[in-house]
Order: sequence, then C-alpha cells, then structure tokens
Amino acid sequence: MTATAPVVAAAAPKMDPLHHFHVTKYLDFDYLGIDVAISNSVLWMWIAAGLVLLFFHLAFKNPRIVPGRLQSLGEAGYLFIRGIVDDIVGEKGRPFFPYIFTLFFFILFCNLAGLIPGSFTVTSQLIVTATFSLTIVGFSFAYGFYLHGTHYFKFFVPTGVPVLLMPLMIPIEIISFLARPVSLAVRLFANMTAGHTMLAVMFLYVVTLPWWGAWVPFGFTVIFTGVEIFIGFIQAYIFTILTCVYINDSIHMH
Amino acid sequence: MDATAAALIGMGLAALGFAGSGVGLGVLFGKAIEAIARQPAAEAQLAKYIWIGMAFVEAVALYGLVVAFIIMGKA
Amino acid sequence: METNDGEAHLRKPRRREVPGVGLAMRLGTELVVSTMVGTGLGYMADHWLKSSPWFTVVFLFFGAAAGIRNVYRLVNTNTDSAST
Repeated sequence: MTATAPVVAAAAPKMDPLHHFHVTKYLDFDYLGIDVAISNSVLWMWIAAGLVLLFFHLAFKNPRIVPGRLQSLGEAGYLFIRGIVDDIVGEKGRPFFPYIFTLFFFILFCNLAGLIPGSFTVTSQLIVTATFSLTIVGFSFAYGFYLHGTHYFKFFVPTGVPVLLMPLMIPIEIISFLARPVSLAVRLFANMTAGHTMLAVMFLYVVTLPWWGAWVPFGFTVIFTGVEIFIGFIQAYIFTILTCVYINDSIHMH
Repeated sequence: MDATAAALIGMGLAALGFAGSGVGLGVLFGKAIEAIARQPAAEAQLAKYIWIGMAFVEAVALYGLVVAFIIMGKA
Repeated sequence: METNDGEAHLRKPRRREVPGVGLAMRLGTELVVSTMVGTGLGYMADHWLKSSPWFTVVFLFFGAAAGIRNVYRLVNTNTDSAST
C-alpha cells in the first residue's frame, strides 16, 4: 500500500473512495450557539424535498379521470403507501398516513439523488437516519403511553412465559425494544454507505487500470448502479414498513 | 512496528471474518437447494430455517466489521 | 397486494411485513445491533457502578439472546402466511 500510494496519488489527486461522504460547509451560520451551517448535506436534503414537491406538483397539476403517465405514477405511489398503512396498522393508522407518505418519498428521493455523480447522499450520514429513527420510536412509545397509560408497560412482559423466567425475559424484551431505533438507523446508513463505497472503489479501478482492463470494473459499475437503485427503493420501503409496525405495536398491543 | 500500522493490520485481519461468512453462505444455500431439489414439497418449511441460518451467518461478518470499527476508533 | 378496492382489507391488520429481499436485509443487522445495544448498556452500567467486567459480560449474553429472539420472531411472523 505504502509503496504504490505516491504513484497513484501523483496520477490523480483525489483517490479516496470515502471522499464523497465528507460534509463541507458552504455558508457558516451560528444560531444561539447551535451550528446551523448550510452544508452539502443540507443542500441535497433541500434538493430531494424540492424534487418530491416538483414530482407531485407535476403529477397532479391537471388531474384527469383517465390518468396520464406521470399521474398514474403518482397515484401508484399513493396507493402503495396507503396499502402498506392499511395492511399493517389498519383503520387507526389513517391519521399517520401523511407522515409515513412524506417519510417514504423523502428517503426514496434522498437515496436516488445520491446516485447522481457529484452529489451527496444524505442518508449515508448516521446522524440523519438516527434522527428519523429516534423520532419514530420515541413518538410511538409516547403515543402508546398516551393511549394505554401505565398499562403500556405490559408491552415488556411477554405472554405465556413462566414466572420463574421473568427476570430473564424482561431485560431481553427491554433490550430488544432499545435495539429498534439503532437497527432502524444503522440498516439504512450501512446499506447506503456500503453500496456507494463499493461504487466509488469500482470507479477508482476504472480510472487506474489501463484501457484493456478497465471495461471489467466499468461494466460492473453499470450493473451495480441498477442494483443501487433497487437497494435505495427497498431500504425506503423497509423503513416505511418498520415505521408502520412500530406505530401498530403502540396502538394494538399484543 | 508503528502502533498505527499494527492497528491497520489488525483491522484487515478482523475483516477476514467475511471469509467465514462466505463459506457459511455457500454451505447454507448449497445444502438448502439440495434439500429442496430432493423434496420440493418441503420448501415452505425449509424457508424459515434458511432465513434463520442466514441471519446467523451474516452476523458473523458483521461482528468482524464491528471489531474492525472498534480498532479504528482506538487507532 | 390488493390496493385497488379501498375498504376490503381494512377489517383486521395482517402481520405480513416484508417480502424475501427485505427480510434478508433485515435479519443480519437485527442480530448484531441487539448484541451491540446489550453490550453498550452493560458497559455504561459498569462505567457508572465501577464494577468492571461483570455487567458487560452479563448484558452481552442478554443482548445476544434478544437478537436471537428478534430474529426468530421476525422469521416466524414473515414466513407463515407468505408463500416464499
């Protein structure tokens, strides 16, 4: 590594596959001691949100009975999320439908916008996904407590277990509840980071190999970009599903 | 040896856990396909155990990754 | 997924959560993250009570058990009704 590194560095200056995860500040703001600088992360969040708004504005600008292409795509997205909410939570999940809809499309567009060369993947920052997941799990806990009162703590007591095993089972249940926000955040973060690092390493090989060898990693990147689009969709879908499952757990206690 | 270099080597060695995960996935899915080919009616029952086994095999690789990250934090 | 007739599937919630690929992506992290959370809790308890390795070791096993329980529950709820 150390022997060949100067040669590679001389050939092309930026050969760090983790380079595109660096947060750089464009405008530095400081509000009451809190850092609210406009970084590339913030910028791409705005771009993703703007793309969602633009997409649905264009899709439902002049709605018709027989939908056109864009309108049927928007309707399919709406029905997809509504199907998930109705399937998992049921009728009581209707008040949460707007939030879940927004969450799905925001995460989806963040994932997809991260695939544009030169862009920044917002969901590859652990703090972003942790904010989402802590909000969701904290809210579902508070909502369950609001609905069921202290009765909600029976959530941590599994049914059909002998009393003798309770000191063993209750810590396990508590740990598995505390693992929820962590696993939700880590899954999205790790999948996006790993996929994009993989793509970056392959592009690095495309640049460094001679022309007769470069087509192998190049072909791989073409295929892998398709896989990344699929993974971005699946991850947004899993995030949405798990949000519904957690809200359902706090509404209908098992 | 420099402490940082030793830590980097240790990170690489920790990532060797992925080899075990690869072997495990190969054995798991190879045997699963063999079993389904012998007894196609049992596929729905086998699927559950395939998923559980896959979780454990995948966890081996991720434990290696966690160890590598812990070493990176120390270095 | 029958999403076209709004009210037919409103009667009772079903617990079929994720199809194949999603399940595969969820299982591995579930196990590791539970273990990590358990170990982290034990480590913090040790740091707080100055009782060096005891809580870490005990909670490591609690975390591992929680991970296995999570995986088992996840697979059970997701493969029974779904035709894999």
